[in-house]
Amino acid sequence: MSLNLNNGNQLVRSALLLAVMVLLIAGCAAQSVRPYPDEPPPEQTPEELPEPESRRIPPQMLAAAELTVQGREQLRNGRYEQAIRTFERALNVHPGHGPTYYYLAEAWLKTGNLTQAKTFNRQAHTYLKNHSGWLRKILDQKRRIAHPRM
Amino acid sequence: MKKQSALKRALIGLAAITVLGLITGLGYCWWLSGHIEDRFAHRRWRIPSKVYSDATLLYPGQQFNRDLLAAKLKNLGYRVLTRPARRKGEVQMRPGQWTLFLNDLNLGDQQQSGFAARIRWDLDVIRSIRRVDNGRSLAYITLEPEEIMNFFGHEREQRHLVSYAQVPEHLVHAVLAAEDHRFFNHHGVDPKGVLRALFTNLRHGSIRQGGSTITQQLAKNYFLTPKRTLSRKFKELLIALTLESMYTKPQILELYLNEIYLGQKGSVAVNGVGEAARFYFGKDVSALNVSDAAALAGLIKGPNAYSPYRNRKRCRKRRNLVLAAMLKKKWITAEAFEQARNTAIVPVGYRAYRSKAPYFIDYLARQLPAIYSKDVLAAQGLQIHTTLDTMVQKAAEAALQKGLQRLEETLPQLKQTEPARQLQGAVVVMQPKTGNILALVGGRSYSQSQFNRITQARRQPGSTFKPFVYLSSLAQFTPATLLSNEPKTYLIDGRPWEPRNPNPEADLCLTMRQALSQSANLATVDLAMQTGLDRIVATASQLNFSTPLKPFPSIALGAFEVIPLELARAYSVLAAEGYQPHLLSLKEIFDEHGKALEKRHMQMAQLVSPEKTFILNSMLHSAVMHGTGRRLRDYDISVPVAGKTGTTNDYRDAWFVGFTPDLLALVWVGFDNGDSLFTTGSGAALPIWAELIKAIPHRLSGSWYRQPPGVVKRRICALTGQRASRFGCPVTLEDFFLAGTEPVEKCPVHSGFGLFNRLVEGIDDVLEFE
Repeated sequence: MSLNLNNGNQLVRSALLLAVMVLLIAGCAAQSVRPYPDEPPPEQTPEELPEPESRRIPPQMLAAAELTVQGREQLRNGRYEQAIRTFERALNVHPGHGPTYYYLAEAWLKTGNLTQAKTFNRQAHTYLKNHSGWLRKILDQKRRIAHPRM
Repeated sequence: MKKQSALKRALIGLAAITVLGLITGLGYCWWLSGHIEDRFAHRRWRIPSKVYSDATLLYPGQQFNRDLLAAKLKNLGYRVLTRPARRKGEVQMRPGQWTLFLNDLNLGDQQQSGFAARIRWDLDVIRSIRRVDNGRSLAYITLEPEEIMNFFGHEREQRHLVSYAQVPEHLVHAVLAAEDHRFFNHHGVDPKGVLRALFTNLRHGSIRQGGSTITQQLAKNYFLTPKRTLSRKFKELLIALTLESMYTKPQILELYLNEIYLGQKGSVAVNGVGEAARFYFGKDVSALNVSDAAALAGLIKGPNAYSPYRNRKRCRKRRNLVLAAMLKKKWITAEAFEQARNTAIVPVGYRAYRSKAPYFIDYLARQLPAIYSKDVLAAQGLQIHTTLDTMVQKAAEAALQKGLQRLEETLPQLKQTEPARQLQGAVVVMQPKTGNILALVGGRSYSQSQFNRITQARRQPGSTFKPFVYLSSLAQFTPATLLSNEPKTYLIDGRPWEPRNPNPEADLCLTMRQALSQSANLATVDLAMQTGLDRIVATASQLNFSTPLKPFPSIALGAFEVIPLELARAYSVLAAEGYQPHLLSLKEIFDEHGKALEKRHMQMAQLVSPEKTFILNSMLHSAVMHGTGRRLRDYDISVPVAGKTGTTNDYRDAWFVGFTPDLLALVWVGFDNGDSLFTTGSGAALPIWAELIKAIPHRLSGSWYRQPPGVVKRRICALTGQRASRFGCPVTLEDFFLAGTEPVEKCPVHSGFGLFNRLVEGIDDVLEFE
């Protein structure tokens, strides 16, 4: 019985799958033949929006990354003011470079300016929230900004 | 006996007078020394503060505008050579390869000695940058900030201070040969020289010759009036003697070399050898050769008479006299003499002093008095570093000039002969994510009108305000929400108001995306009424518009006044994914010793969620792809752009505000008196924007906004705005929604009710085809 039942289920599944495939093919056909061929194509579709991330690394990003490395070195050496300027210079080259915002927040945190640290931590979150590795660091930084003595 | 006592008395009297004279002289010298010390303890010269642009970074992969970069190098004083660059400030430009010997860089916290770098480029893209000395590949190089303005005092003197150690020996010898070859052998006064001058003056019965030593000249220039009297001459002698007793010879020479007047650059006096070396030869004083040095020394006698800019032959003759004097003193060899004598004097050329971005400077200067008085700015030699990008500034000025001229040619009725009534325009370019103002052009001609139309004008924004209406509505509505585009009458202050569409044939029902893209007035007012006018006023206030807004339906169409800079700043919230920057024009102020006195930093405030700005930016991208800004496509701009046109009643104002994640630019065109332009924002302002953007590829990365996690993409029916039915809806498209606001219900018009359709839809739902 159970075997029959299983066979029956498989039959229903196969029929359903077949129907889906037929419908899919029909769907494709329906899209290619438009019922109103004389109508102009739909205007302003976001499908034509540019890809947000190009496969090629933008050269701006490389230059900004190099400056960010320098800023991190200054940060490590306790030259916080200088590091802030270097990170700002990096953002001047590539304003969308997310990691630089994280380090800028770090530099402001070191100088004790928590308002600035909070702003740039939030911006880092905006630009890097799709990156789980960065997100962890950013949330940790957020905690350190909220409780600076910890 | 009587005779003897008389003689004795006379001698005693003479001795007493001499002693008294000596005491008086010494007393006077003592008083003078106090006076001199007092003068030298304080500021020695009034040095005008200088305003600089931002530094420029060049890096591999960067696109650049060759003409603008070449002009920038020229403005920075780089000399273009046919041979390889061997010294700082030289550049060799060959096709596909520029070799640049960078000048020293001093940005306060970043110092770097100049070095030679080879830039290889192809199709106006930098392919590589390498150091010439070791071949090392570089991630970037920095060009020093460009001087854009001097805060002159009434004296209008320009002076670049140099230390004695910086002055090459041959320049010292040239000056001594020309002016005082016994300088190191006397004590401030040269008796031989005085006797010679006295003889000449007695012979002519008037003062013809000074016979002044360098110390005396310094005393005269620095402490006394130019009037020629015997008492002044006497004072000059005493001051010279006092100076010599107080300071060493090199110290006196350093003061002298920085003090002397050496020519005229338009209305500005050129003082000191440091400034003169740059003015005549485009070199740092340490880089002057023997010929240059002798020519400069020759100028001291008559800076304008012997100026190579005025009379090169006379300058050459005078230089050769100095060279001959140097040879006579054996300060140069016969070979060096011959070589220098046969060297042509070629002055580097100059442009009379002119502020390079006058409207930007005015905007900057308005912020400075709070920190420094005019007198401090004119005297203390401050270095004021700004955010200005001179290449962007130049491109903005050129695009505006060209755009306005083209408009006048196309629409001759716009041409006005009276300067005050001329067609005007204004441009501001900023970085939305940092707040840096990169360029600011407040009008067509600063010499004719100093009114800054970006920072001081109040104009109606028209349709450029519409994005903020749509932004206010995104909590309630979606880009797929259908809006009524039918004529309606509204009451404003009890009076009827009937808005009209610029295109009377527009559809009577539009989605929000279509309405913004097509800049439909009726649909936008409909949306504003549904959203709530108070909410729109609150959005404007949140975006920091300082001009008052009243909750009338007409605010949806931008029928109130804004300051253009505030409009640009409001758009920067969209461009910077919800963050509004504090606008920056001033970056840092250093004193003359390089100590930072003032620093300004990036400040951002989050006003809107990145999810909302992402959706709105996609709608504004549609506006330039298919809507009122579609003319932008004719300009073949290679990077994705979002933007909005604006035109006000009777065509009084034409606007275009466009942005990318890197850059935002606002263009306004109109008449100061509100006359009609007879054209739209797309016709007048957009072409200026497009030409500007095309000229500054170095500022564009081509990136676009990343879809935030709180935004979803759904396929919808283009006619109903509802979730698309796979087989029923004739035209479908995808659109973005804030998560949770996407349409859930299937399109009621095209879904159908047949069993087959329902089965398919059911499977569709299970398998989530969307």
